[in-house]
Amino acid sequence: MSSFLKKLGLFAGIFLLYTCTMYVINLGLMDFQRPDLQGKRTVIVGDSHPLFALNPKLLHSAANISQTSEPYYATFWKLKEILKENQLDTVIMGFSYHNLSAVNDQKFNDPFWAHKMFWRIYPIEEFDQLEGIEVDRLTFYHTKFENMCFYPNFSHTNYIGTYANADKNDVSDYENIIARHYFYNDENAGISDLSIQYLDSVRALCERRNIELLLICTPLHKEYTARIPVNFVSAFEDVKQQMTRKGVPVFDYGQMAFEQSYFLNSDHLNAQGADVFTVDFREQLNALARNRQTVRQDVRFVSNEQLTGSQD
Amino acid sequence: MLFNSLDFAVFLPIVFVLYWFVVNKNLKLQNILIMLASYVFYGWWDWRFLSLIIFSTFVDYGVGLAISRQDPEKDKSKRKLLLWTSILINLGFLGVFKYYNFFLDNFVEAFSFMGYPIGASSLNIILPVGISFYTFQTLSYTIDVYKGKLTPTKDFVAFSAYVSFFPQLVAGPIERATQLLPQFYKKRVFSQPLAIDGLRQILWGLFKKVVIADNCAEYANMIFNNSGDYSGSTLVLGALFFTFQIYCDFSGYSDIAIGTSRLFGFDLMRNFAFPYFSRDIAEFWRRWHISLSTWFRDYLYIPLGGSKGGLTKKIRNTFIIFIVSGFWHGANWTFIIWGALNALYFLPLLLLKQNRNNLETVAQGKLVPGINELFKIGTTFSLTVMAWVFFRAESVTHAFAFLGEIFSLSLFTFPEVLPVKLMLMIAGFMIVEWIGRESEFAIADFGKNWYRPARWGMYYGLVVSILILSGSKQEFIYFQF
Repeated sequence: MSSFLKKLGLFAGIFLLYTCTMYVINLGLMDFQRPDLQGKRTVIVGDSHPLFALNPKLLHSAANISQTSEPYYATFWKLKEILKENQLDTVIMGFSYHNLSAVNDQKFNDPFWAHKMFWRIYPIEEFDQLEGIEVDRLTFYHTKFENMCFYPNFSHTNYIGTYANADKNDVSDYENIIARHYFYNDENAGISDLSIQYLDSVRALCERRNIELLLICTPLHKEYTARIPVNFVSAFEDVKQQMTRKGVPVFDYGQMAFEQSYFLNSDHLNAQGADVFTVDFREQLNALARNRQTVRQDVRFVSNEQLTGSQD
Repeated sequence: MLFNSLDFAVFLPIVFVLYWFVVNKNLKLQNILIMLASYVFYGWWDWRFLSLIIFSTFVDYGVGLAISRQDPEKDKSKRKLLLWTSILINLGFLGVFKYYNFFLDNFVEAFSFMGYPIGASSLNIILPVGISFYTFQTLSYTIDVYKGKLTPTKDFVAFSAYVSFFPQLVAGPIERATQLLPQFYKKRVFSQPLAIDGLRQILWGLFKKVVIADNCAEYANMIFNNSGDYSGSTLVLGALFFTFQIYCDFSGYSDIAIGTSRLFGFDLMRNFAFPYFSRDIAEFWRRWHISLSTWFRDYLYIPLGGSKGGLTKKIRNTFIIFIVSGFWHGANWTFIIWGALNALYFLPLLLLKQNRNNLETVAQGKLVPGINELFKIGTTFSLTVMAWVFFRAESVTHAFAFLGEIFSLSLFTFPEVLPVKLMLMIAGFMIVEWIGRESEFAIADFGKNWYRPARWGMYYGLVVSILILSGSKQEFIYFQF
């Protein structure tokens, strides 16, 4: 028995030593791997709606770092991390009906989402600040263990997304999307107070750092918008007004008519739609910059002239 | 608690330490610890389940003793009555918890079909985990006592420990009383080789379950749950993923169960013997879920007459055994059809007296099989995969639609889902299984002659694979049975 226990102890001990060494090495690597926006002054953040809708190449000095299914608390942590090493003028943040859904409160606990979320946010999480939502700690530590304890990991910045799109067009998925966004266990998920709170935290963070925050509700197909539960529509309008009162411009394209062929599916734009929309949005931003009394002189957007070489 | 959970990772060392360091000098205490640990293990799912297993234990303990007190010649009817008491109570539990709603729904549907709709309330019952396994285990005790193959035990603790033995309680192997119960009469002495073999088998079982089965499950579930959206070629992949999922899930669990038992000095029966390398269906059923198939053979097939008697009897018995086996798995027509399909596969071999071929391991002593063997393995495997479609499908209609799409022109299109990494993992896994097919489990003898650093490197590789390559956590499939 003693021989067996010694061998078992040695086996476990070697494994423990190796994993601890790797953990220390990765802590060091994490320090070196800060998100580098390469001088970009505008970031587009949020979930898949801004991710698919805004082509950063059509905006001056912009980076689209949105990621699919990202809840507002993750966006907040991401921005805090980015601002440690980067200077920003403008944050364009996705703001839509489903961002206020309490389905978002399940993303750190639901078996489908938890591992994917943890894979991104393990270096920047602040779970202790999240009140009232459950976090699957076991899956989190397992994910962190995978990323920190086996090999020198040179990609600890999985929380930074990049723009990507496709040229497909199929809007028949609205029933599934509505169910996924607004219902949990077949019941109306309700409004997430925590999401609203973190949206305001982003606003406050931008205000402290003298960054212009713009909220954008990207185009949604009419089949999708017609099915959004009423409580989410009301909550969205309330929060929109609150943000507007606090001086945050809200660009609401959610109910706007948009060419059917520009949709990837019922709630995302495809590549062609994103290009058209980004140009249109850019013009709105330029108009805003021109017309506002407290115009920020350092907000510059690429004009059509610069883009195409032709006159506006 | 699941074998691949933190709860079990804490539970097992505690029980191990108590077993070998605290109670090791006393047989009774060893058995009491096993019994209590097993009740904790089982009650972890739901403490209410304990009442059933404890009641079943009392009934069969009492029946065993009562049978032995009757004169085998003078009190035949009394002995039979006692036996049937045990059978009816055990199968009664199974019937109520597992099959009541199935029979009720079919009853109501049949009457509606005939134009006499009736209303009936189904029961909202949770199926106790492992009920299909431990009821069969206790039945084997009373039947063997009745047949005179086993002396009934007076040691209630030993009997309770046998019934509830936690490594194999919820998903087998279904142990015969003649094999497992006597092991509770002798004090277990720690054996390092047995313990190390046990750990190796646990490691391999975890790898099969967590790396192969759980990863296959993600794709199998996606394809089966949305089968209407996919082409025939994708559905073939879905069927294959389920084929490997069910094998690795179930045999993985059995490996962990057997390995864990070895840590405590117990020897459980082998439950899987590389069934996907079988050359015919008869061989497949000698290698798949061995504890269940032999149970049905000994307690149902042989009493019915087995393969003796006329043609009608042979056909009847074959269908009974396979259909009951299918029905044991679940209260759904899909399982019954799965069983019937296997009966159809098996019958020609039985009638042509070809069901006792291929008793030795395929390509014994050789690295690669011959062309003929390869063809037979491929054919048997394909038939098995087709049958698994019924096992996995939600309904009979779903299964037929699934197979219909497979055997359509869309079979020749490029699959919409092609997880290359997973397919390579499965291929690598099957190569390891092939190399180790003459052993008790694939890595049983792997690396035993290597130097320690190489051998431990292999173990570390498996541990890291389990930690990094694990799929989304899935419950063991056979828990639902």
